[in-house]
Amino acid sequence: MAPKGGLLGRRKRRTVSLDELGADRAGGIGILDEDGTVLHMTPSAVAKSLRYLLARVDLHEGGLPHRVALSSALKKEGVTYVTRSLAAVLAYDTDRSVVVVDMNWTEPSGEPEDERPPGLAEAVDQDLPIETVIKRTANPRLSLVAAGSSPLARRHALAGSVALADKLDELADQFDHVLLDLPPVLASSEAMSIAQLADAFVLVVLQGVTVESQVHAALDEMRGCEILGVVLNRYHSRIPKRIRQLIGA
Amino acid sequence: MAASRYPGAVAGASPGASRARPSDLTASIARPRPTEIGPPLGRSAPTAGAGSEGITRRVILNILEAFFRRPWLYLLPLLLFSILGASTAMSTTEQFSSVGTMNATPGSLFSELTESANQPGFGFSTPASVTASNLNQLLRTEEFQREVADRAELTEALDGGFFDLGDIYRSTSAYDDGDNLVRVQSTTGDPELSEKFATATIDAFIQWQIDRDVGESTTAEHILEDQVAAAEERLTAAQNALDNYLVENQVGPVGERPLAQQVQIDRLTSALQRAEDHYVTQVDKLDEAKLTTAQTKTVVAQRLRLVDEPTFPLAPEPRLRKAIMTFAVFVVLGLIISTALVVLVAALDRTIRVPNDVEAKLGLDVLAVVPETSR
Repeated sequence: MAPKGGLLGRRKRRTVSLDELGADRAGGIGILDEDGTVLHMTPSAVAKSLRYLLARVDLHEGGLPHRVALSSALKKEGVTYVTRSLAAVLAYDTDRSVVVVDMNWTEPSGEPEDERPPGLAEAVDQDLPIETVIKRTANPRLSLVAAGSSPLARRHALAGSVALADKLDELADQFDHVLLDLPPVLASSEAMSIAQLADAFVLVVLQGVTVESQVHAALDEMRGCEILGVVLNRYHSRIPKRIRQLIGA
Repeated sequence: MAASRYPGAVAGASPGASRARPSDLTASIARPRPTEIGPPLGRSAPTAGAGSEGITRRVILNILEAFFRRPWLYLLPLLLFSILGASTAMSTTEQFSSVGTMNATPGSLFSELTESANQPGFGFSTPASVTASNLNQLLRTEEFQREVADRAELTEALDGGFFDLGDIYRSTSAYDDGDNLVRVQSTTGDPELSEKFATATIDAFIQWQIDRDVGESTTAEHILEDQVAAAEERLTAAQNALDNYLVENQVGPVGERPLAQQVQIDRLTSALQRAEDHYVTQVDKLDEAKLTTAQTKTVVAQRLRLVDEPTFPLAPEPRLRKAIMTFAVFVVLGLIISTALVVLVAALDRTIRVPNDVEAKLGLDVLAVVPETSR
């Protein structure tokens, strides 16, 4: 029986007309579970922005690295949103398979702890086959892996375990791209350990909230990782369009 | 076109062979042209964008962002000051101005006055500008203000609290008009008071200059007067001593004095002569000092003289111009405070606000700018 909260977030009613892969008529892309329930919706403006990201990476880096970790300096900067949106766009626009791995054991997206389905933590701790925790979506190229539950004292060891690395290797063998949704760098030590398992690192920065020194601190913690760049999230300029055009912004 | 790893983004083709995608869904999927994409990704040295232009643009963007986040908050000082300015301008009462003119010419007085003004770095000064500056400085002193009140015969009004000494300073000022003319203007709500203030200020200033210039010779006069008095006493004493001796020692019948008396008379006569010479010398010196004082007074009067006496103002100052000026001053003040507030907030804001901040402050590339949407 499916949990009340859904696998990766609260269930949403499917109120807009989406095609079978989850795209709406305006250009937005949703992530639908196999029942057709919307788990995540990427508006067209966000999708357009992330396509820009993919195009830049494609041009300059020869394509998105195999394993990409996304994190932020602080909590609530929208890493999960950006990761899922990027995965949705990547899976919809390309013929590549993508898996989003939620690694927020502290605050996994959505469900209460007692209702969480088994996820990566259980797969590592109980040595379950990775297939048992992969959640397929309406888009056959896009899959999700929940974080699962892990005791507080165990999380750091879990993040640095060989078993976790092995499970990620298994995922990497099955998918073209593995997107790791990491906890905030300055809020937990797991992010630093797990980021070592990725090929590249992307820092999500919430506009007008994260202080420069905090971003610097997060980047210092991540030195040694291949940093692709920054995604400036929830950007909204209050400057009227006409003035922006005037100053060439 | 070269094959892309993101075919859907380029051509709008379906990512899966078996799944069809409505063509209108892909219409908005536009891949940026390579020329729009920019340099290689990753970490680089923090940069301020493209040189000073980049810095300027980033600073302007941050200031504008700060302003448009809370425009009404930042406009509040401007609004309040404008209201205050309008209120002040509306409440302006009728003011009467009386103007007198002095002529200041260069000379020893000017040289003395410009002693500090001619120091390197102080710029060029004219006799009029130095005199006006000197007068304005004096107007700030209580002693001078009291002198003006005395000369204006307003001591009783001053003591009665009808005005205070500060009113003299606030209502009266001097400014240069050309190289030699100094205008002294007094503006109050009472035309008679304006005239009295202006007249008394000019008189007090000229007298102050005379007192200052003749100070040395006047002091010499006082000393010499004391010395003349002392010399006069000495002369009188010498004369009395001789007279008394002659009375007490009359000439005998033979007509000849004893040698001792003759010697004493010669000594007293000699002392009288010395006292007389000393007295004459002191009187001469006193006369010279008096002459010097008189000459100095004349010179000062010639070099700083009243050209036009302050007149009784018959009509008040035009109010509209003053009201506009008052309002403008308040508006400019409000604008300065508003601008300073925005700049301060923008400078203190250490968050990442604009994409340029990422490159400038972090030295990283902006991979994407995800817009705020309702989520």
